[in-house]
Amino acid sequence: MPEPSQPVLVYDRVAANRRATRRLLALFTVLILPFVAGLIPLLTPVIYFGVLLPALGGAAFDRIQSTVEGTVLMFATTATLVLLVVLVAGIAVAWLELEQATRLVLRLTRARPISPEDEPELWRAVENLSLAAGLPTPKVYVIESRDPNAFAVGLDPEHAAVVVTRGLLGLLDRRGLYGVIAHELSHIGNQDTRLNTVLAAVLAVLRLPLGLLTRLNRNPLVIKGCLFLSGLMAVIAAMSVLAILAEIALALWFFSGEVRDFLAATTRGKVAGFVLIGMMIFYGPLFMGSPFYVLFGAQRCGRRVSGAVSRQREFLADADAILLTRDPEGLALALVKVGAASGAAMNLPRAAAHLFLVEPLRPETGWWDRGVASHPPLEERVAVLARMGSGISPEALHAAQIAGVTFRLEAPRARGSERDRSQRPVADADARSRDAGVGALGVTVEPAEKPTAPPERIGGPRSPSEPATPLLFSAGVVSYIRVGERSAVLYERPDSASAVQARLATGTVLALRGVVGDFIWVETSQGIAGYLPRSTPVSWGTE
Amino acid sequence: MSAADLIIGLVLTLLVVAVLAGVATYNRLVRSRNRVREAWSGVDVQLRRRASLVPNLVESVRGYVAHERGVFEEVTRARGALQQAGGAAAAASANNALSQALGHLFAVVENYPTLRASENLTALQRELSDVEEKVAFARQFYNRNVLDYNTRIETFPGVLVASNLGFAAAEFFETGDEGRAEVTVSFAPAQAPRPRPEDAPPSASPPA
Repeated sequence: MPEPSQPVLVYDRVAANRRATRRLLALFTVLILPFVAGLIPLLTPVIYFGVLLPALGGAAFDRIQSTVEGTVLMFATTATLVLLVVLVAGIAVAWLELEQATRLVLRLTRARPISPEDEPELWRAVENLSLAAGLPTPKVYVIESRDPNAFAVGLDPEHAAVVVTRGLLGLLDRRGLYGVIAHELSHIGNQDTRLNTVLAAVLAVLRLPLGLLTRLNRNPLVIKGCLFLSGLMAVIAAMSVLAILAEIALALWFFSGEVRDFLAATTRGKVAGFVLIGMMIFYGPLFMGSPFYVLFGAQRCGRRVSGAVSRQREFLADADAILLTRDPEGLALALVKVGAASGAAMNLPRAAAHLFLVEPLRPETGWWDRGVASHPPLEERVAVLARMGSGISPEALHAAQIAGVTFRLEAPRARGSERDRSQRPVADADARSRDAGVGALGVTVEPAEKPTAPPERIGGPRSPSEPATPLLFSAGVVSYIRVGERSAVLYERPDSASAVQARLATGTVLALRGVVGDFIWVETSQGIAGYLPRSTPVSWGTE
Repeated sequence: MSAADLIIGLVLTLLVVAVLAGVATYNRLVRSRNRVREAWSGVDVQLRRRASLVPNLVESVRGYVAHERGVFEEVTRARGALQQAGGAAAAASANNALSQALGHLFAVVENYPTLRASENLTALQRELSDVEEKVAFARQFYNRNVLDYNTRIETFPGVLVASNLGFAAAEFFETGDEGRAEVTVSFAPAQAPRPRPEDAPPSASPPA
């Protein structure tokens, strides 16, 4: 388990998170400025020849251009006009995003409003925790999806809504549900919902130039070509800045007397000198480098910053949720369960990803993707929660993980009664979950034949000998397991009296196929499928 | 500019800054006190709901166990006390007394299987437990606000304004011992500090 070095007391964490968020928002502002500046040279020709030339007429245009002051004036006018266009367009797009965001997300996720009679338990959790948070009771929505997740939307607490999936209701017990709802209500109370919407709107603005380009030309080769060309220009620009600076330094050193005399002699000389130097140092490289930043750089950086803000807010919401429920373990175990049960990515636009309880999109592992991710790794969140309370036992973590994995591997149909669920054969369940797109597990082994064993029941009674060995813990999507310190026996059927398929040495990696009663259904790299008792010391891995 | 002018200017600037800081502190204290009041109204609504459930409960039980007079009297008295209680501490103890009285009543009900199975009674019991849960959650919000307010008026610079302009500490709404134990188990470090009994002012809601 990672050991984060963050303040542990809830009140301190809230304060620390607030400070971090402010810093990150300042960074966002810094990011926007060169974006606007970079648009100026891109749009200048349009304004210059599209607006000013026709408006003034050729003769007047030439007359103004013939003097240095006129040229400077023309440049300033152009820049101002471009700035106005960019600002108006940006604000318009951001405003539209803000207006539509809540409705759009609710529509895209097919969330359905519910009444207290539909889901009394859920409703009561929302009502009670709103009282504890001092918030007006938000509207409650349910998404008919098996993927357990939840999110909150709304620009202010009065118009907020809490949305949970059907899967979440099926997976979590009361404690977990209270933890998750408290987390979402904290998002509303901290106005993260608004912050997130604003961030999404800013991102939409940053993505606008590339969006326009792809709209105009759908050929991916063109986009790649643009990326390459603009990247090349940016590199040349960066090098030319250095070259120009060196040249200026040299020139000033050699001809210092004459240059100073020329510059000081007349007003005209002064202005010309400044414009020249300014153009060379600032405008030239900006002109060269801006396409890359405007098209690709800004939105990439924007996603990083918005991801960082959003990750901070997740920690804050976790901390605040504990303030409401006083039960760090409840939320931590709920997160573990949800993490282990999350299989397929939800059908969502990337801009809405940061709203959710856990990352709803495909888990990404590269350093860049971790920086872009809207949520901190679950392990880290769980570790922080564990430190807030009195710690969480490995047994509880293990049980939560098993519960999550079991839930994921069950067929979508299993939403019915408890009895219905326990009647279903495992092979059926596996096939169904694969049909449902749970292929995102990352299991690399080819599917073997269905087990010849008579179908066992899922979710049968637990054996009295619960695993007591500490497990390496990971809260992502579990896809493989590794045999722990002592060697394990692979049985042919989920029954320790059945024939032994193989003996597995310590460290053997097995693909996870499912959970059957007290056995874990696995497959070796040689394609031997079999059952491992749950009490075998194993560590869980995500891929 | 002479030295005297400079000193006068300096003193005036300091005075203006001090007054502005004082006004800001005062406003913060008022805001905080109003939040405590608003939070208290949240608790109060739930307490009233709880008290209003009691007559129905008594009615539905009385027909079966008319002879258990003492229990009914205890419940009715506790309900009256709760309705008249002014202030958080008084309301808390009245609420605890009502919980105890209701506990006795339900202990009596346990002896009458037909009564226990009555649909009316189970519905009332469910509603009562819902209200009790809501009291607990609203209490949490109230106590957090009290903690914030009391910290403000006891720390610098709030303490200067508070002592001169009559901001008194607000009372916490405390549960009985069993409730406290339940909370402590799950989250020890964030327990609200309890004011010493001798410090608590007689009136619960903060003075106007």
